[in-house]
Amino acid sequence: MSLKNTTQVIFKGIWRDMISYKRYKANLFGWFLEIVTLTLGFIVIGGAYNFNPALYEIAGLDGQAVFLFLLIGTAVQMFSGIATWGPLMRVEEDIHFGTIESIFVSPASRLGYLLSTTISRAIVSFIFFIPLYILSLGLTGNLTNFAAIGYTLLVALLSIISLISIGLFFGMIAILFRQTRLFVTVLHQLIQFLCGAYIPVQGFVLIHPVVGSILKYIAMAFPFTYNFDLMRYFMIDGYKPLLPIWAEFVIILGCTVFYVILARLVLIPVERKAKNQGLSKL
Amino acid sequence: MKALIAENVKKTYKSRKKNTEALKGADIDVEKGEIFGILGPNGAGKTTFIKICSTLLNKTEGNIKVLGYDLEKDEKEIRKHIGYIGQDSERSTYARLTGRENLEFFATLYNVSKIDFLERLEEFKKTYDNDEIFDKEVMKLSGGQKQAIVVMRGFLHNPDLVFADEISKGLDPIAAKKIRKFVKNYAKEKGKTVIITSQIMSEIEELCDRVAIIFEGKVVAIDTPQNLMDELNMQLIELRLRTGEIATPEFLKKLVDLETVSAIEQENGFIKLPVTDSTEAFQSIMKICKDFGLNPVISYRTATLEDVFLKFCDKKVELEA
Repeated sequence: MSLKNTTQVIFKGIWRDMISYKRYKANLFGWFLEIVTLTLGFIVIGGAYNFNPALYEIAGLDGQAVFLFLLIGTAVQMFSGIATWGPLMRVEEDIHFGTIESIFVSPASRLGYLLSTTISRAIVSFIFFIPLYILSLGLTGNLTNFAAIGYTLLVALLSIISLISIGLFFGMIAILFRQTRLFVTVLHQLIQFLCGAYIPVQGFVLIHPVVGSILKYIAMAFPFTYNFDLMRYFMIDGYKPLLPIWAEFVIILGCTVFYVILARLVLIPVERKAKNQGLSKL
Repeated sequence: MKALIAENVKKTYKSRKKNTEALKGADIDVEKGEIFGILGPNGAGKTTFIKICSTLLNKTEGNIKVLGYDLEKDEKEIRKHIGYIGQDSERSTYARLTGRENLEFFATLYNVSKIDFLERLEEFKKTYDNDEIFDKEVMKLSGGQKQAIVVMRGFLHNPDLVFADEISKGLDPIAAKKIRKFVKNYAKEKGKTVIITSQIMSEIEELCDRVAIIFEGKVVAIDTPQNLMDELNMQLIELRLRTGEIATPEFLKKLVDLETVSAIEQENGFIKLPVTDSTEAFQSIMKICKDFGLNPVISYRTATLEDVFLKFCDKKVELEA
């Protein structure tokens, strides 16, 4: 199939998902409720706990920054959900309803099929991201700081792109194995913690000097870490990033390109393997 | 050119616990423009065969040519020219999309132009004779209507060959009839080849030019439904005893001892007697009934496709002398 058709498949897939979202509002409401609950929960946590004062030296986070730190983390998390759940849920749903065979019997691009659903989730996530984003800008005093707005939007965009590429892998796992949800849920939570959604990666060493250092370097292998880190850098005054900013951008871009190429390559043997047992049988 | 040539197709599902041989060397060839039926009991290998031919499963051994293309080398090309209607397909739609939107989505997967799509939609409306299925959300349609959308999806990109796996499974007789009518009319009108699996004998008899019977992974018979029935050369006399009448062992022995009666089977109050000479047998049976003081309802019929199916696929029901 040509690039033109792959693009058409992506757009038509987004069109399909948007219609479904529009007609199934309960789903969107659930999504919204999840964000509100998280934000409210973080307000409570932010009011009850302070960061370790030693963190100021390492990450530039003072004791009062807990809520801001978590709020920005939640905003970025919106997009990590895209990667984790978008293609996975699409494949699971298509296997459950038997639509997957009708898709895989067609000559359409498999990559386009997986990408479309990730992008449509990204669009919806972006809509939910906006209020959190504005709240974060307001609380950090950046509502009129156009440089901060520009950079953070760029980071948000990069987050989406880099996570979309990772999402492809979760989709492929779902093609190969039944009951992937539990595995992915655990993995998702681990990655969230590891990459700094709730705890600053810079502060791992404060928990334990050796284990913390090891975890920190593992976290640095994931593009998620830099999504969180960059967003906080541009929002929180005095925040010290893990690496120089230019290096973090390069790593995110590099990882994105690498994962997309890898996904494209891996998708062929994945389909071949799935075809030995049947797409809906595994 | 043949639409399908399958030679010695074998398929083994491998797992850690055990290997399952679903196909043990199936040979089937289908002419262009034919509606070809594949009959077989559950687990015979029908669906596996269809899925292999439609590129959804890998075969373990054998050679397959679909529309002249080699299945292994030209998989992508084959996908452009075949349609697929899977089993349990009634649900295999996007529930929140309308029938038309579902078709529109799949049209994009097959690179069907907008003009062609609209043309096809008009053809479908004309052949199916019910417009409302296109404008309602699929979740609001009946099972038969959903299935109609799925069947139309199989023909959407004007494929030369359509694989249809149990298209009327789970449908009521009226909905099933409407689906069959659509497939037959549309396929014959457009000269399409359709390979259809089913367990419904009347469906195969009504739709198919030729039929293959698959049993335990092998093709055990292949011919026109009429030839298969003729080859069975079976004449059956059925006796239904009236209320209060009892078939004693002596009575049954007398019947089976008749020279023209080859076997005897009792089922649901019926006594079935396959015979070689129906006229002679009829007279003899009447006489025995009279001797035993019985006055059963006696009917006569020739072989049906079900008899053919049972002969090949149900060893337990083989009539025992």
